[in-house]
Amino acid sequence: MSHIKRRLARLNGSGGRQEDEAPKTISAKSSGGALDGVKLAQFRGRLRGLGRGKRNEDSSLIADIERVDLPGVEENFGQSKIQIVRETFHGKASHGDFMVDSLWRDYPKLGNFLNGADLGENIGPNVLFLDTETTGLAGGTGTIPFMIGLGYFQGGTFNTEQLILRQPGQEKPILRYVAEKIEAADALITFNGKSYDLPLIRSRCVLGRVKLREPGLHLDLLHGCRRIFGGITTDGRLTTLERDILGFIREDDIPGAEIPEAYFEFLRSGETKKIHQIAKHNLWDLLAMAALMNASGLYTHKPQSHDDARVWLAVAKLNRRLSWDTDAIERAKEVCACSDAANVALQGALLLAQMYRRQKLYRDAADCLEMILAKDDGAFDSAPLNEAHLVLAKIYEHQLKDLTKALHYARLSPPLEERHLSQKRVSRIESKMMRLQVEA
Amino acid sequence: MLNSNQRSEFAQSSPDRREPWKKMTGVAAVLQKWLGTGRISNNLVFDHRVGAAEGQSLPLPSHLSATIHKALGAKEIPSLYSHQAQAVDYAMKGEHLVIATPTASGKSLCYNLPVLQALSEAPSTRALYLFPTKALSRDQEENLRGLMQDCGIHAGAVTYDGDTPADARRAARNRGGVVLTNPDMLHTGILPHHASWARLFSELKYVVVDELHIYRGVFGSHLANVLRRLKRIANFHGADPTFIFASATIGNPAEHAGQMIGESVRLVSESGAPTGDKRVLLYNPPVVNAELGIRESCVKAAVRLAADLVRADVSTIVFGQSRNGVEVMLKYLRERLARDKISPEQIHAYRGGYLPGKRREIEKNLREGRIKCVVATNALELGIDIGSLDAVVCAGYPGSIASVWQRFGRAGRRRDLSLAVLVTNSSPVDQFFAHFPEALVESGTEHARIDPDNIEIFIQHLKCAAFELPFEVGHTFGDVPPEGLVDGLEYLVENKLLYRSESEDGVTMYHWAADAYPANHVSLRSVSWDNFVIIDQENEKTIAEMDWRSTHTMLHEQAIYQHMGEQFQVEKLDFDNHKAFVRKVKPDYYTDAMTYVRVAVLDQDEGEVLPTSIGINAQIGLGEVNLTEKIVGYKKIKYNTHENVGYGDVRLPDMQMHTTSFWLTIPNEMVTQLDAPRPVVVDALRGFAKALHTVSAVGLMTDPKDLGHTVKDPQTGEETLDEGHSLYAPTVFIYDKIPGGVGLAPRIFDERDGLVKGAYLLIERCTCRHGCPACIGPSIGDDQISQETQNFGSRKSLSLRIGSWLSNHPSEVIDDVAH
Repeated sequence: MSHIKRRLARLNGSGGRQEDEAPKTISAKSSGGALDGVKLAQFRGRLRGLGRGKRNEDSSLIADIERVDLPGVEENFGQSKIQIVRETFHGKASHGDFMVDSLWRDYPKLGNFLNGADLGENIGPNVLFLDTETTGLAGGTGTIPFMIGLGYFQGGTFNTEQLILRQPGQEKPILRYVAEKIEAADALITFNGKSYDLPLIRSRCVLGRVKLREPGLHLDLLHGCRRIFGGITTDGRLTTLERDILGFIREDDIPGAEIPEAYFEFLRSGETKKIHQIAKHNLWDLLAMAALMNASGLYTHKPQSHDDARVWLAVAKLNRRLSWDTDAIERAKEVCACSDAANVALQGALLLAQMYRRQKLYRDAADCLEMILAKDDGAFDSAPLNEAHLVLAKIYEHQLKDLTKALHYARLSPPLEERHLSQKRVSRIESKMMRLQVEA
Repeated sequence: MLNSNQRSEFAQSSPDRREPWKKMTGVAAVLQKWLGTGRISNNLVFDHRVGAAEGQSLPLPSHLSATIHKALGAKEIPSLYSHQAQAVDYAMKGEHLVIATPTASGKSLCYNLPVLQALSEAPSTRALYLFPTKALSRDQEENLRGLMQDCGIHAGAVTYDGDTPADARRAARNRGGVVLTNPDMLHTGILPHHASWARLFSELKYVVVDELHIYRGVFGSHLANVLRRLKRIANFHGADPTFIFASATIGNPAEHAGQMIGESVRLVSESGAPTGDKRVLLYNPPVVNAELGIRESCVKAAVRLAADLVRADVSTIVFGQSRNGVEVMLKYLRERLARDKISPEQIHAYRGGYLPGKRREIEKNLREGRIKCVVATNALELGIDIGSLDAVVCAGYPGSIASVWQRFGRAGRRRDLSLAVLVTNSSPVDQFFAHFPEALVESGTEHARIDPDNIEIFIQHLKCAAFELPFEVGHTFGDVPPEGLVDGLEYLVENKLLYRSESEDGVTMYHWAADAYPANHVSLRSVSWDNFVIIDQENEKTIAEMDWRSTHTMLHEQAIYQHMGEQFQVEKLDFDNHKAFVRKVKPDYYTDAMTYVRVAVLDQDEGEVLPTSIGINAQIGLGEVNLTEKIVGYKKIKYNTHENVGYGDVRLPDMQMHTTSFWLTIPNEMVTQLDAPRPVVVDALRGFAKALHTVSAVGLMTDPKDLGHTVKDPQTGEETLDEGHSLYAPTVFIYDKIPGGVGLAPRIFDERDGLVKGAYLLIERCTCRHGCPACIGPSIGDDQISQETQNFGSRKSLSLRIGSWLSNHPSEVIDDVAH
């Protein structure tokens, strides 16, 4: 009997037979052994049909796995064993141009900048860096973090521990270990961990019934670094920041997209070459995060080069966001003074004018904008230029009551607002002037 | 036509005397008018009275909390209908149940009450509601929120679907007492992330599956597997929910619900709701072309009847077959009623493609009586709350008897007379009912069929389940036999999707071991959910959406797309980005796409001979085929006259489908014996195939749209059938029009003798002379073939001869049957 026929037998039979009366029992639990037997036979027949011509005959690949070559060593943890790779980075270790050290403790505002909100205190050295390598990038409960990298400072050294899942089903001790480390740290530092690594670990803990306390503070460098370095990097990826900010270029790195398959390949064949590559990749991620903390601290503390006017502008904006107005004004003034980046200076002036207007210092607001505009040699981008004109038109019309200047700037600003609005502004200023002339 | 007794019955039900100075209003007045007009009464072929029922009420169950008593009291619900009380009782005892009572019998209260009671006892309790459409979830969400407020329950009711904004999603996960969603979202959005939904699953007490009858065939088989996964996940989180199903009237509610969860289910089917008198009429429009057997368009007839009702101030719902049909009827009705000074604003369309805001507005206006008439697709067949209307006009048979009654249920007040009219079109199945209208009330409603163990579907969901939670030997998956489950898991191991390992205590475990996120690649519906958006070029606004499958026939370039009574022409179809750009036009025609189907036989599973009365054996077969549907062009059809006024080309990718087909091959000797040119014979065979399709649909009690038919003749050269299959002679294919098939073709194969004979009788009994749409359908329209056919008797007589040979009937016996 062909598989189709069997399928049909089912459709014609139990699927459509008991038509008029509700069957007393349909569940497998209560149905007799004979029915189970028939159902099973149908099932197996159908399964055979499914694999027709497509089945991979080579199932011998799924043999017992040799684990001799996995990176790291097996260590005891409670009753269980965990495969761990340990590395220690002493004193002056660096990643690219920056130290792997907790130097950032000297920059009290760094944590606030990275977090985008006032933390009230500086972050101490008791932090835990965390980065996972997983079996799928799409997420979901069935995605397994098969390598979890941890990094922390101890004495004068940076220690890393990479926990490797030797095979699915042995995840629990790893999760327990990680949960303990997270709980012991003052802050967790990740890159995109808020939306990826931590939810994944959380899910796996629910599945493995492991208790996980939420970290006291979680700094996600993806968002923090985007706020600080967004102006000078092409995209926000860790390897891009590593190249552009830290000056480190990875050699022979495994592409992220190949990682899941590499792990499955290891499970199937015991081949560990790529696991070593993944461990190196994961270690680089940990080192890059630690170095980025220092880089962020340094860049936000003082500008590193003329190119960094954009970072400085970002720092000014972060100060404003955190309502540190005095610092925001100081930083913005410094950006304005940056002579060889006209557009950044203009952005700085716009920010400065905004701060002044908030403090009702309208004259200062107009002055700082006009000072920058006076340097116009055609290098300004139109969007900020129009915005500057519009701001000036508003200040002169409403606060400084200089209608001639207001009209001048209003005529320059049109494309920014809806056209009819800007025309309205121009004609309103014109009619105000007329009235004044009549009165005079 | 009605006999004299029936006529007098009409007279009795109408008002005694007509007062000419008063405008006659109400259902009874319309009935009287229709009876008085020969034009209408001559074509009423069926008049059936569904008597009023007093209903049966029971006091509110004492075990419901005081706040619920108070809230229901305030809503003037002092008691429950008997079926509601019964349902609440089962649910509160934790027994799975299915409620299968007619439309508007208060089914939602049956499941809302136990849920409200559970929430009032323990606010941490959770319930999950599943609806087949987003619109229904929104509708029920409002309803439920109102009830919760009245009962002083603070647990939220949150709809979780593709339209839910991110912050509301978080709220649904953490605080939603009742989460309302659809099977697709449960499948791709909730189950694969169940760890984030731990709060829902660990306290899950009730799962409500409304509109159960929708989940038939492939969709139903998918849902049964999604429910297997749901139960497994709930068990993992420590819950064992009670399932409450609600269904329209189908033939096998308890069996169907039982198959859904693989457990036995209590049936509540005796409605205790009172109903008023209902008259069910069947109107078969007059023949306008006796030669061709063509009847007046059912669209026009339905519009005329609906206009009579609206003029008499009867609130009316008109059901059309397609989105296009709905728009055409809306346009006609508005035009017709404008002459009676009835504002177009009182007549609205309602269908799937409208944006949610527009639909809410129409629903509200209907409930509040500001809209007198609504023209709808089956979107309104489901439990959208529009209150009760006085009359239903159904233009065309909707494909199943269950669907007819579901639509008819939209009319009916508690006390007053209501009216339900089925207007049949010229199509064969419709004419079948016009000739045998008793079938509507006597043959019962269809059975919903699913096959949860359909191996393709099962394996897909086994993958999803393994992703959600690793399997251990000894785990169960619904009612799948444990050894079968292990076989399935091993199959996935072989295909490198699962990884088998031993746990520390020696239990074999299966872990998901592939990068892909399996639920994303499994669509629950045969129809893709990837909608096309329709953008008006004038203002670059999205005016509607359409599912992928309809795009080919409705949104090809130059097509006239009808929306809210206005016409738009498709100027550009961006197929890759799923966008259609349209511009408003005022044409005097609409468009109708022409399709062409190619068949390739992939695998033959069965083959037998079919003896004929002339001693030559025909061949029949059953197997897997690959179908390619191509849109070859479109016709322009003039409004009102429905003349064909032109053609156009369409260039769109082909649609492919792998399915199961039955086939019947006429040997070449038989073609020779018919003594007519081969193309003429093939065209006649096409007519026989059409009749066989009709009879199969009625015989299998399935929607004719679930089947397809085509005729291929390898010798004409235009068709290529796969090599290695000896189909060298003209062949009729009747196939499942659902990817993978749902087992219709095999049933045709098994019941071929009766069906072939039935097809012959259908042609034989048809009153037309040379063939009509109701029997053998139109010829392929090739003038030369038509010309030649005339030289060999009519196409109908040739089809009849083929039919008589195939059904193995000597002609004299046939004469006996016919007369």
